[in-house]
Amino acid sequence: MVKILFFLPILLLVAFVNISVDPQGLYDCQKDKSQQEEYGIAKTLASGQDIQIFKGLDENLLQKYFIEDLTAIPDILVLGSSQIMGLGDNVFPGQRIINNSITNAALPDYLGIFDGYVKRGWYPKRVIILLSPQLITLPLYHSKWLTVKEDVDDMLQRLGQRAGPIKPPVLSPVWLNVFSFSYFQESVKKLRDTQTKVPKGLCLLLHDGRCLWQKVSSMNSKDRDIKTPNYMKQAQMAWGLKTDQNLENTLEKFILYMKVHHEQVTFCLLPFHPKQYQWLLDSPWPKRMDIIKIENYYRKLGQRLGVKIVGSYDPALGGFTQDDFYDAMHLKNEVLEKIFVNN
Amino acid sequence: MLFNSFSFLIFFPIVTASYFICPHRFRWALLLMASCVFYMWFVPQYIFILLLLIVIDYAMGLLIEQARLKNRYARRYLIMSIAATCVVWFIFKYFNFFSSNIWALAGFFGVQYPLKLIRFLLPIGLSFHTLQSLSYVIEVYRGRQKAERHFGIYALYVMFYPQLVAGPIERPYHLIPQLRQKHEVDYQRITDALKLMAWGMFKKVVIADRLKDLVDRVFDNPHEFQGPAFVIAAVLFAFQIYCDFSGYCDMAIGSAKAMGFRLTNNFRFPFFSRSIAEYWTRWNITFFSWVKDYVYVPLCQNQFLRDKRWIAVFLAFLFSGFWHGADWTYILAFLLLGIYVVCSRGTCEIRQKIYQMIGLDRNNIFVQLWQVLTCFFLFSFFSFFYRARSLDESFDIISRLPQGWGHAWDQGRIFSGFDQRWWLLTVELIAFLLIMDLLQENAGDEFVFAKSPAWVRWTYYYGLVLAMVFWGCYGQNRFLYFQF
Repeated sequence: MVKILFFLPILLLVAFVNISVDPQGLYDCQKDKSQQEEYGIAKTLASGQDIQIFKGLDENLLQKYFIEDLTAIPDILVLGSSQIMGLGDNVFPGQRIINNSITNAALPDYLGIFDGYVKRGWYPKRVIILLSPQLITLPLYHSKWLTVKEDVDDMLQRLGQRAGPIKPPVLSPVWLNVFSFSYFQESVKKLRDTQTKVPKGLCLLLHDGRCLWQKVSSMNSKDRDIKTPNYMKQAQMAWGLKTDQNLENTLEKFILYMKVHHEQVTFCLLPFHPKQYQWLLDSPWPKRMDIIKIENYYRKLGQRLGVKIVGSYDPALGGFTQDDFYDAMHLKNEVLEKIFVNN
Repeated sequence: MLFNSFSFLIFFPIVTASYFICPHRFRWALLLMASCVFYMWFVPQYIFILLLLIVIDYAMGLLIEQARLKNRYARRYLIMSIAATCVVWFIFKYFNFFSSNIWALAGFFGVQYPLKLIRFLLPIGLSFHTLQSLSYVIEVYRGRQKAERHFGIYALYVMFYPQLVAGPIERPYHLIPQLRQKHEVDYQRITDALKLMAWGMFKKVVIADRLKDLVDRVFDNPHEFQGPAFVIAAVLFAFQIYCDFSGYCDMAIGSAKAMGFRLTNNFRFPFFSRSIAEYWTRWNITFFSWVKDYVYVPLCQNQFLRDKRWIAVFLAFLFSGFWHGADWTYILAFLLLGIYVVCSRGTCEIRQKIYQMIGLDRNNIFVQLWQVLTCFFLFSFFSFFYRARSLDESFDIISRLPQGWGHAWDQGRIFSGFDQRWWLLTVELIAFLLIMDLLQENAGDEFVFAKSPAWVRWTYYYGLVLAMVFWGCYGQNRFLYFQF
């Protein structure tokens, strides 16, 4: 059995590369704030400039610094995920809009980001909040919000809500990734990319917080068609199986809190890709997600709290077709703009 | 729980260690509990269906045995048992297929009524443990197996976690006695088991999951591609499904072996088969031997079919098609195999004569290579039905096979995202797989490097682990055969 220890060097190599290359910045939390890339990018954005980014960032941290560095209170604030990242002052000219959306956002992400405004005593006139299904479903899709856990806890305390499922996972992804082979492959890829070529731009971050994904926008229509089934599979995996009462209560309290301090809150339900929507309707028991039930819940919540609702998950209701989407999840920017211009 | 998941990495050593620590008389209970946890990892509620099947066949086994002794009603109980098991199987797997086909047929004749479908996810491994349960009651009926009186042991026979969800399909007289035996810790056996599991894991995460991306791209978007892309995808699919399923079986056999259980080998280097008939003695062996023993042989004994064995072959392959999935694509794929086998048997003498006429030795290396390649390409052709998403798409793919050969390497998009490095590595991995299989076939049951110097063995172990570290795909991809 001692011979098993002969494999230890491989594990140590994996751990060494994972921690030293650290492509997702999991192990550099102790770094001084001014040395963090997110800090520099946030400063640039807050000064009103756009910036091209080349790699994945800690989006929660970026939003935290961005809000801290803003010089004026926005008129409109957008909270959402990558589906709504294209929404900015292109749709609301003449108004100061800040889009604080992050990819795959879950409820704790919203809480943490919003806390940044509350701490500054800022209450924008209007808040547009994207209601994606994963806000109220379990398991929580990711734990990226752990980097701003204090802000999330502060917000929960303000709402008088117990953490419930909003807590760190038993096995922290940070420690799981030490020996992760896939993280190792990501590290090797990063090493190779930096040594051999200049990476292509990942996205263009605009001063209003909008994010223009360059990989997506440069994709031609045929490539998109080919990639769609893969996106579809990813998307199907992305959502939780069941709704959670505690998350529903937290969301409701969060909306009420916003209603007290803001003039207007708008719920946004963005349509699903028609194929994916049909897949969800047809999926057998036990369902991954009962999409109609979730939409009904959001609609009732909106009615109960007097919140305006824009859009629907059902693409047929708004007449959306496959051509209105970049991929299986994301609407084209011009289509997104139309939804808000018409509402 | 998937063998290629983090949870199994925790589950396996805990269960194996607990098995040896646990006193012998409680081991069955420990394994049964572990098997329940393993199964409930997918859809917990489905354990009740499995439990229902276990209770039915356990009771029927006892009844059949008593009836046999009294020489009455045994056949009646057997039919009741088979019917009860098959009803559950039918409802979950075949109801929608028959319902929609009858509905379409009625519509064709002008009879309109609302289509009734049930929307339940297929319980994982249902087809596998159904066959295992059936073989138990049939063997009890035939008198080759005593009815098991210990409910826990019988439940464990059906639920034994290494082979619960995708085989190998065990026979009661092979597995049940082992469940009662006391297995001691054996260092050599455990290391052999770990080596087998590592090899299975390598096949799954490094080769099968790697090929999956390209195969899915072509078969999920057939309208985008032409002949060369289909041929490449079909060839790669043959390796994908082999590595996926045999990788699963290696891990299943290895995880059982670590505790001292010997499961039946399910693959014996099928790509070295020299005839289609030989293929099915090397591929998914336990399933095809089940079909042979419980479908084909009884059919051949039938008065009507005794002289028309080709009908029995077709019926056996029809059953195999149905077993694989409630879809016309599977049925046609396996009927195609039936045609292969009938033609192979029918032309055997003619081929023999041709060989003699031109003076070719059947053992000549080039003849062997020709036979192996022919078999492989026939098997790859089968994937146009087996892997396609619908029958329409199968025929569409086949009709477009001759297209696009003039600019075979200029089809661009099949290769987009798969750079030269990807192709080179893929070819190297497949070559490595074939070389290892060839060496292992010559080595027999012994581990291929068992007698090699330590540095050779350790180079192999390190190579395997490093390949998994650098090239493994860790996206929790399910095994293809889980869907059956």
